Amino acid sequence: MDFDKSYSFNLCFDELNLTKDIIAESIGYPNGTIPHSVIDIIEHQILKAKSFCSIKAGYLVCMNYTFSYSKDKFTLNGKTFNTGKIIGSQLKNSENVILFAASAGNYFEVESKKEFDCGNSLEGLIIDTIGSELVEKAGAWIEQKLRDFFTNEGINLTNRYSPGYCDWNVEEQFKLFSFLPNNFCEISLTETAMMIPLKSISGVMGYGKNVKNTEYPCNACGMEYCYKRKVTSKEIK
Amino acid sequence: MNDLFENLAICIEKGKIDINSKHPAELTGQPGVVEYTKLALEQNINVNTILQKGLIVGMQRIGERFSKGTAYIPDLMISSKAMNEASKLLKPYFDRGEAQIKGKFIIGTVQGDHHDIGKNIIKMALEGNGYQVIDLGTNITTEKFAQTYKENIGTPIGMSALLTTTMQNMEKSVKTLKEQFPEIKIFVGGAPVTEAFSNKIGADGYYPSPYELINAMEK
Repeated sequence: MDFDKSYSFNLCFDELNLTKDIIAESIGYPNGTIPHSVIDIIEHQILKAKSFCSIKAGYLVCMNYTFSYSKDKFTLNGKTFNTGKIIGSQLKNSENVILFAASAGNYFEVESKKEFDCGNSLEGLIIDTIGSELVEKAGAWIEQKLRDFFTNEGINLTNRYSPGYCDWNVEEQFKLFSFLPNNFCEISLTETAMMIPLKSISGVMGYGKNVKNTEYPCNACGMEYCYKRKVTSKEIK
Repeated sequence: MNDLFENLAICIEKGKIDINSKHPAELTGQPGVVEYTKLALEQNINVNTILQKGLIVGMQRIGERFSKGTAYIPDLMISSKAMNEASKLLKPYFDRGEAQIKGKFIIGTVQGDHHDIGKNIIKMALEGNGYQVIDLGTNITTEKFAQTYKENIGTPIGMSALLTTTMQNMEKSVKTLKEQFPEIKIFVGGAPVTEAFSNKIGADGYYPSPYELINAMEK
């Protein structure tokens, strides 16, 4: 792997291990409570997505870029990312960072809208959820690939952290993408820093010999209805 | 007749559309809300009575189960779809003024934001509960909200934002609309939106689930 060079990959649906159980849980059904008719819809929509969606993922491992961090920000080649304290604390001891992005393409937003417009809201929700889970799986795929590589070198990685979460303003996405080639993973940004296609993710991971990989610090974040939340709002209060 | 109303309510609660519907498994081969609504109309039962004693009872039951955590968003969608099928049969009566909608609701995702799944879920729940929803879509400017409100004075507005950047546009829209129309009611929602943010920008409410919004509207 060359450092300071961006890589992007076309991913195959099947290697991401997206199952109907993941979608069932994500749309709200506790284990084993989902009706058969809903399972049928999920299976059908997974098959369709498998045929039509286009999944891309990539990263840039920064090595020779100047890097420094403090408790609520880090600076990369002179550009300061105001991550906030939650992410700042997770990047502690990082020697540098990895920038990443992934996209599941625009199939999901187009098809979901079509179904909602036809009154098939459940199908619309399921398609949207498959897109969300798929792009997260693509993010996890990148993380695992990097983790496998760095572990062999005796280097640890943090979790993935994204603008828009953990109090990191989504507007900082402009800075993040300024380090990546134009149209990286076929993602573009609107003037409000929204990624197009909508089913896209981006973010940062810290790496270094003394980096600690800890649980996502959800109890420190005020985003009560974040879909990544690992604790209940009751636990926070 | 009470059996008929109860069957209507059960079909709505369980999302049984018609005799051919596979969902729910335990009602396979049995009539659905379409057949029972047709039967009620054939018996010349007043449309408002069909709604109040049958269809809306079913929606209330699924809403209560959702509030208690024993039903989920997809269950609401399944019930709402059944309700929409019944509503299609009742539409001529609404058009002739023989039945009334509960009210209207304007909904849209704020300027700069193209996310619409949350907005669509709210729309589905409101329509299923007897409201007419004016869906403006996504990336909606303050001017578009204002123009639609002018054409529908007194209709509450629901605004959605999924990004911290577009929450700023939500704030601007709420402020401008409140200045132009001091009586306007604006509800806000979206993953990063909180009750504190709603209070800060002067909106009239933030409800994390569709049924909390509906309950608030019906108070």
